Amino acid sequence: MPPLLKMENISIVFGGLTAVESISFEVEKGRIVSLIGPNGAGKSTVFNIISGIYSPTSGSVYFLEKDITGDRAYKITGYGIARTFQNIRLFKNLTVADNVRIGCHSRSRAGFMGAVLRAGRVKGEERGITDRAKESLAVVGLADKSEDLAKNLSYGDQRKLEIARALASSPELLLLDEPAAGMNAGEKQGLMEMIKAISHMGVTILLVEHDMKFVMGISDHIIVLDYGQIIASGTPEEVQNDPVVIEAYLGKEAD
Amino acid sequence: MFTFLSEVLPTFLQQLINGLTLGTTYALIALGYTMVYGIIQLINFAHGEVYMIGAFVGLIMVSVYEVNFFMAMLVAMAVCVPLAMLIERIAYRPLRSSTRLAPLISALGVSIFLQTLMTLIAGPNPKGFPQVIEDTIYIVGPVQFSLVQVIILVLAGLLMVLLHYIVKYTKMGKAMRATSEDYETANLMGINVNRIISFTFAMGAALASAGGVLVGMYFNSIHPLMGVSVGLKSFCAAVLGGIGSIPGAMLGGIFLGVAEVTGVSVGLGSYRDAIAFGLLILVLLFKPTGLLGKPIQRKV
Amino acid sequence: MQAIIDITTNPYYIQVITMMGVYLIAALGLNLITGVTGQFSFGHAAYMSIGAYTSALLTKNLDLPFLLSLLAGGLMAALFGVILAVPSMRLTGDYLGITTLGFGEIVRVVFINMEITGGARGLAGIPRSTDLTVVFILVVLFIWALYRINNSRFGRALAAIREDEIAAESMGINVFLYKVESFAIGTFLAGISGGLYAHLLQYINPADFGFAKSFELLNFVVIGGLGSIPGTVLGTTVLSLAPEFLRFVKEYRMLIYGGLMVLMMIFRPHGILGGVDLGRLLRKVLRKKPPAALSGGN
Ligand SMILES: Nc1ncnc2c1ncn2[C@@H]1O[C@H](COP(=O)(O)OP(=O)(O)O)[C@@H](O)[C@H]1O
Ligand SMILES: [Mg+2]
Repeated sequence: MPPLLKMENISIVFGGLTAVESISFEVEKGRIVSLIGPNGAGKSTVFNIISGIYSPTSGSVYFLEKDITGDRAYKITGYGIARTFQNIRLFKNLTVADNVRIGCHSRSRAGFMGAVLRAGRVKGEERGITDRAKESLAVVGLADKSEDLAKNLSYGDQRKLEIARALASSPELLLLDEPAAGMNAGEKQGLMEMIKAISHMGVTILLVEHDMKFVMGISDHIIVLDYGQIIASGTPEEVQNDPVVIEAYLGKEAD
Repeated sequence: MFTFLSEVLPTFLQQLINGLTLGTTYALIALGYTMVYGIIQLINFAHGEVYMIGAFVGLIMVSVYEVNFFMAMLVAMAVCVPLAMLIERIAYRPLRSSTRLAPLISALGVSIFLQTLMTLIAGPNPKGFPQVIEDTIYIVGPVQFSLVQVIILVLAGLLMVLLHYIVKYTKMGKAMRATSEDYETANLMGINVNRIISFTFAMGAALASAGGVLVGMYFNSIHPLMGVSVGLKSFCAAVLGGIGSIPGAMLGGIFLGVAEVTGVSVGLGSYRDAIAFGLLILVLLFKPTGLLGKPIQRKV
Repeated sequence: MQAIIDITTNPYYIQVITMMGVYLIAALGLNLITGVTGQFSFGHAAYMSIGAYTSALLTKNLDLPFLLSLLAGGLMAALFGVILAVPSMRLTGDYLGITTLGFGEIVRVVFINMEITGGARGLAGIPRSTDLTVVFILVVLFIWALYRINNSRFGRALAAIREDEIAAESMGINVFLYKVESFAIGTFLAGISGGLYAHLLQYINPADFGFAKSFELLNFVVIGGLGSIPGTVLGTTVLSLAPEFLRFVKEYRMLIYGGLMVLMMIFRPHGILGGVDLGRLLRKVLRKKPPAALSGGN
């Protein structure tokens, strides 16, 4: 079976700084793959390239064997890639329910005329959106907060809402950028279960996370990034025992 | 070739001088817009009214108190500087952490308030500005310029050099640049941001009020709504040059002045007020942050 | 009671109220662009002028039926709205604001220089076809349509763009296209409003549609409460009637008006109804109180 996602020699340069340098990796369907590395290694940048927010300076991104390099972000969501943001980017002044309904955007069609005329088809679609939003909120356990404004949620709940919003687009591939950041141990445990449950629903997951216990406990495969380059990859055990990885992490901590 | 030397070139030089004069007055006002925007990202719509009030104070000084125009300019500054600081204190500071449009509406309110106030005081009709400088005309080769033009160019030039010095070398100026660069960090580093903002408004007002007196002298006529169109055009000049950039405001002002005068001379006189905006839109479409503005970083 | 009859039969008051409705239509359009979609537009009056001149010339010179001319005016305004929006959409915030302001000034100067519009003298002799009934029906129709828009996939996408463009794009929203559509609808409403204006006053002049008018419309929307339809209605009502009520202060009127704008922003920076969801509030009240208690609340 071909890989779900394939990155080929991806590089990106920001005004002289090479943030990501010639990286290649694949993500197979159904897996939970983690991208780890010190701060500034280029993990979020990789996410931004996959999700179409940045265009790589060189290299190609393939999703289901289709070349999606440089496609606009909204299109990429339509192909079946959804994401969350490291620094939460919710629609703050909208309700939890509306945040998730907006997540359904790429799986629905009604436009301006549909909104005004509200024909039967549109009403049906709107019901579908509401159902889908409810399902997504149930997965992350926020169903009872659907009428709250997003900005009034706790930090942990905001992270969960980001996941629900991404799930609402029925993605094949879900990119999670530091979903456990700022959560306490109990919340992290819950989040881990939640991600496993999402994985069981058939969604492939690419994850950036700093908490090593979390990463080792959940990943099928780990890719280690340092200074924009892949320095190691393999199963949790392989990566944990790789001297290069240990060096990269210890070296950073010694600064 | 001959007609070029005898007709086109002199006309061009003449327009250049006239445009430069107009442009430096735009630049003086544009500097206030750009400095304020650089620090608090506010389009200070009341800035044009500060310029207008400067012109009126200057008029009162030369016609009632019969001081020389240089004194008049200093008094205009002395009135407008505290006025601008007061406006900031009352109408903008409480709104600093508010939505983007709230201080803008507040600024418009101040602007309407000051226009009406001046109309009540001085009446709606244009007031003649007495001829304070003898109207000497110099003729150098094919071009001619007046003493007033020379004074405007020299004084405005001096003020800009002074501004450059203050911003570059004084402690206040350095703090101002730091605040403009990164408000949060400046605040954390113990810079008294409120003082810097007040100082910025003060400097902008000093330049604008000087501009008001100079313009009064140049066109011999002032009125309570004079700040509206000049204010907008100067703001255009600031954006054209790259908002937040001090050299940008100077460049933008002069560019605009020359363009406007040139436009009028090639028969676009009835489109005069549209030239600034047309240019602005064109520049922004190709260079979205203006001629000398830094590109916007979209970091996610 | 007599007072109500007086007001409702006094032609002057009817004129004032009709005009208020005309401005309300333009303000509703601006609210969609700025309040809902979050895009600055400081040249809304220019689209009113495009609608006004288009429809006035069509009824005056070509005897087109009034309602058709209104529609044409709205479409023409929307066309220009799109023409400006397409290249400008990569500008954001104040840059977009100043570009729209500049466009508004250019439109005004062009109208001053055009033959067919009567130039700076203005255009007179427009048939008087706008009346309170037409305006009222249109206001109700547009408010109804805008409510539907706000509570639809389309409207949610616009709100998402206002809240966070990058997140919106990442949710599959074609931000560019939606912004352009929002401009098209908003400027269409301005064009309709302009057509009504022309056929109410029977005389239009480019000076009627300068940036002062644009900012007045923005004022209606911001002071009422950005993004809120009841807010826009309230803001337009209060502010377009304010000058009438402030008549007793005569020449100090605009002084007070300007001062009030400042005070309003200091004490309610989100506008009168900003951040208030009337629908949700109503539901809460209805849920809390038994229905019988409602009638006593007057
Ligand atoms: N838009 C951008 N412009 C300039 N530099 C950027 C941009 N985005 C990321 N970078 C730089 O790229 C490097 C990698 O950043 P990032 O991907 O956020 O790291 P990580 O997520 O691994 O902590 C950093 O040095 C960061 O400053
Ligand atoms: Mg990161």
